[in-house]
Amino acid sequence: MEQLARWCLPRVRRTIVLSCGYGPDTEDLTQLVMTRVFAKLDTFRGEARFFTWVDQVAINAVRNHVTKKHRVFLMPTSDDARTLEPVDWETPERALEQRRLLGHLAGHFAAIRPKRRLPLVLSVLHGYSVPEIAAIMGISFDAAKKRLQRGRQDLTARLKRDPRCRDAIREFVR
Amino acid sequence: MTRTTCKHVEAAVAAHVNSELSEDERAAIAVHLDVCESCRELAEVWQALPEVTREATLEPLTDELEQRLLRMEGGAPVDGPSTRSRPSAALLFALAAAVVLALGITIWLTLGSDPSNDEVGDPALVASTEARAGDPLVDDQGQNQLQPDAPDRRVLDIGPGIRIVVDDTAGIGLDGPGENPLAERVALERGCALVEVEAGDDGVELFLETPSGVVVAREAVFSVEVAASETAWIEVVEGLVYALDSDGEEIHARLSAGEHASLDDLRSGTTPVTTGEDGADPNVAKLELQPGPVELEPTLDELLKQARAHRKARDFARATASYERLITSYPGSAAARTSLVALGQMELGSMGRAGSALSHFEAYLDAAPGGALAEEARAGKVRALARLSRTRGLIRAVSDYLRAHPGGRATSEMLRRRADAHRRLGSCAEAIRDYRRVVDRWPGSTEAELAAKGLDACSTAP
Repeated sequence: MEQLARWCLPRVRRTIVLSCGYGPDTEDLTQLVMTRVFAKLDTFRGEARFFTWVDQVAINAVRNHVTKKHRVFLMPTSDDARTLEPVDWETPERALEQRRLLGHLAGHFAAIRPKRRLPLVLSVLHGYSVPEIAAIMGISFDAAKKRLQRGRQDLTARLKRDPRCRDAIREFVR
Repeated sequence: MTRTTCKHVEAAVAAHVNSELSEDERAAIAVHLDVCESCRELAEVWQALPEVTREATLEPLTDELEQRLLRMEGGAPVDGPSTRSRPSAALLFALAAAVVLALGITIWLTLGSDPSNDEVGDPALVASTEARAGDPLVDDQGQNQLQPDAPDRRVLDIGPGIRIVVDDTAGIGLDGPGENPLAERVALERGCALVEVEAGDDGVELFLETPSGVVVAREAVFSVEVAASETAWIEVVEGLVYALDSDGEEIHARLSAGEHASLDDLRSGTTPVTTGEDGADPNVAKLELQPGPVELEPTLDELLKQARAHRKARDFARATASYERLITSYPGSAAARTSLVALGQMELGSMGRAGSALSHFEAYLDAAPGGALAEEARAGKVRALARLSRTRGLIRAVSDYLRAHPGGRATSEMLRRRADAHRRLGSCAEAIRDYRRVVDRWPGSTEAELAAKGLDACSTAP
């Protein structure tokens, strides 16, 4: 079970961080999702990939959290953009800079409306196609496609206004 | 995309890097990216985003929380130190058990004889459901750590260093060491078993017989699932596992940690090898052989990844092959059904293969007429029929769509397509009725514009 938790935990955390940002409730939500995964393990029917099922549990929990309670942990401010300095990924501070970039990026995601944000997270983070997103979220193909498209446009607009974030992202993969 | 501006590219750049656009759109954007540095930079950002989100270091959890989250059991965090030394085995068991439950197999549990166990009332039975503290598969309270609350789980102590975990759906018989004192023999007729074989000084091996062959292990952790079709699937967590014929005479292949295959596939893909010429124990001698590589059946996960990667690279032929292999290898799975729609849309949108797309949409509708993607499949079917100019079939398909999805998102398009079909058949009255519905209900939409043109054409028709 511990190994199972070790495999699931980073994936669940990334889903939550990108969907909700870092905040006081992040850890509670992580624990909630992990608890649900293990409580519902017996209901996993083997019809989907195991991690797809985990993602579905996570995204449902996140959806309940952010849409019903209108919670967003982290909203980026204009100051946040200035906190991202040009970085050298080869320095010993690499991990720290990566955390900062991911948190900053999570802020951009958090500013997007939840209906658009969650398909965007599933697409960007986990690489799901539109039919898969529709299946995971239990919405129609057209709805998934439209929400993903709008989420992408929202994120593009935000990234366009944040040159340092763009540089940091491009630098990350070099 | 007839006119490609920065605004157009910004709207489509994410779809572009995900290879979701048509050939024409892709070409138009590629041309623009060649000349526009800011859009090119944006495309690079979108290209890099998945890697950043997947690879960038997360904020560390507090030690206390991390430990709590890693010790989840049965849906609740568990306090106290963990004593599990083989946790990875638990995952496979959980997955395998879930598959068995999904298959709904009704199975018996039969326990054979084990001369070494005199404490069991029936000398033929050796099942030991009482776990011992210190065993890798139990916690310090002596509970089976795989499912502490599941009364159907049994830990079978077969012999020195050999443990098998089964639930009560498994059909397993214990044959004991037989003539070879260094070989424990177990028969798994149906269901799942998680097996741990530890190498001891005495070098005892486990021979696990299944309806489709024999699995041999000396030091390994692996799971075996015998499906209703009597096909045995093996997944290795640690160590090496060897596959023999059902008569135990020929080695077909070996599986290493992380590999997964059915015995049938191994049999069909490997040349049998005969051994034991040196007079040593033939079964032991066979274990020292290393047959050539065997092409293993990719897992569902691998096939999905392959399909996505090929689609992203616009290698549609290979993406199609991966999707089709997934559909045939894992029939009935949700992923296979989703793949039918994904494949149909790819064929219709990017490959110009309307006939094949039609068959995939129909296959989805046959498998899951009320499924989550049924609306997309029905709409796809109508579009494929339109592409194939199968007018009467299209009219029926539109009626089917409207009946199954009243108020569906593609209703206006469906009505307009049905009206087009009626017009082509010369039934202008029906065509005009549908065209008017579109014009009246969705004024200003693209479909309404097309419907208005259709109305004009009807009015000028002889």
